[in-house]
Amino acid sequence: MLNKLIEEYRSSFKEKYALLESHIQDLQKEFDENKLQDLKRNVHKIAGSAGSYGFSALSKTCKEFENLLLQDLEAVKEKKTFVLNFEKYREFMVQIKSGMDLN
Amino acid sequence: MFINRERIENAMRSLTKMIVVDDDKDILTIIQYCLEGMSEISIKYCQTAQEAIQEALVFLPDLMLVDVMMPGMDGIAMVEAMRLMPSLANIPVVFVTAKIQKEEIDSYFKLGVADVITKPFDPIGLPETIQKIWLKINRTKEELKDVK
Repeated sequence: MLNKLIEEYRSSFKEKYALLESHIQDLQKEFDENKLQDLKRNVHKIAGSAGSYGFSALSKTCKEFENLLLQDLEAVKEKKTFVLNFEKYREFMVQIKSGMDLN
Repeated sequence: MFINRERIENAMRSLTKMIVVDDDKDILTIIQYCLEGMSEISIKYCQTAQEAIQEALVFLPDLMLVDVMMPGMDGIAMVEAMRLMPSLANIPVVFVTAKIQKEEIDSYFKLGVADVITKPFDPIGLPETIQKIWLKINRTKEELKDVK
């Protein structure tokens, strides 16, 4: 039964990945703090759930990604920058993709 | 260490109703699977803090497992709201969260939560973790009774 749940999680992961991807694409088109919050919230969710389903490396990657997003959000709030680390975001997305064998 | 088995069994029997709230359906699914074996406990699952409060007002759970980071009302606001409601004020709350920086944990205990379960968690070990927390809550209650 647990294996079945893990497989369901794995097969539903494409949608989670696509959601992150669409948040990043939207942010690249136009900066929106709410979109950045949405991205962080969804990355946070994966960090919490992936590890509980046995995908520890993926969880760790998402936790690091979440920390970066948190830093970016704080920088935006303090008006230090409006330039996001898209290059780093892309690196994390590649790791997330390979962490769930989505290649 | 001497363990009073009868005392433990009695304490565990007093946990009959629980509410779990998390906005992440994947987390609710795995918790539900993990706790299926605890058939003596009736468990309600909710996806928002508001839903959990409404449910708690009717169901009056012995224990609540609460996610911290939820859209709208988060776990912290939920506990603050519960503390203002006489029928919910004393229900022990356990946070289940990935937000576990030292200052965050300190703030949870300052808020009065009974314990914190870190995300990600080991699904197989979750029932045992809950039992341990419930025994700790009971021990604290009994110690308080003794003081009185």
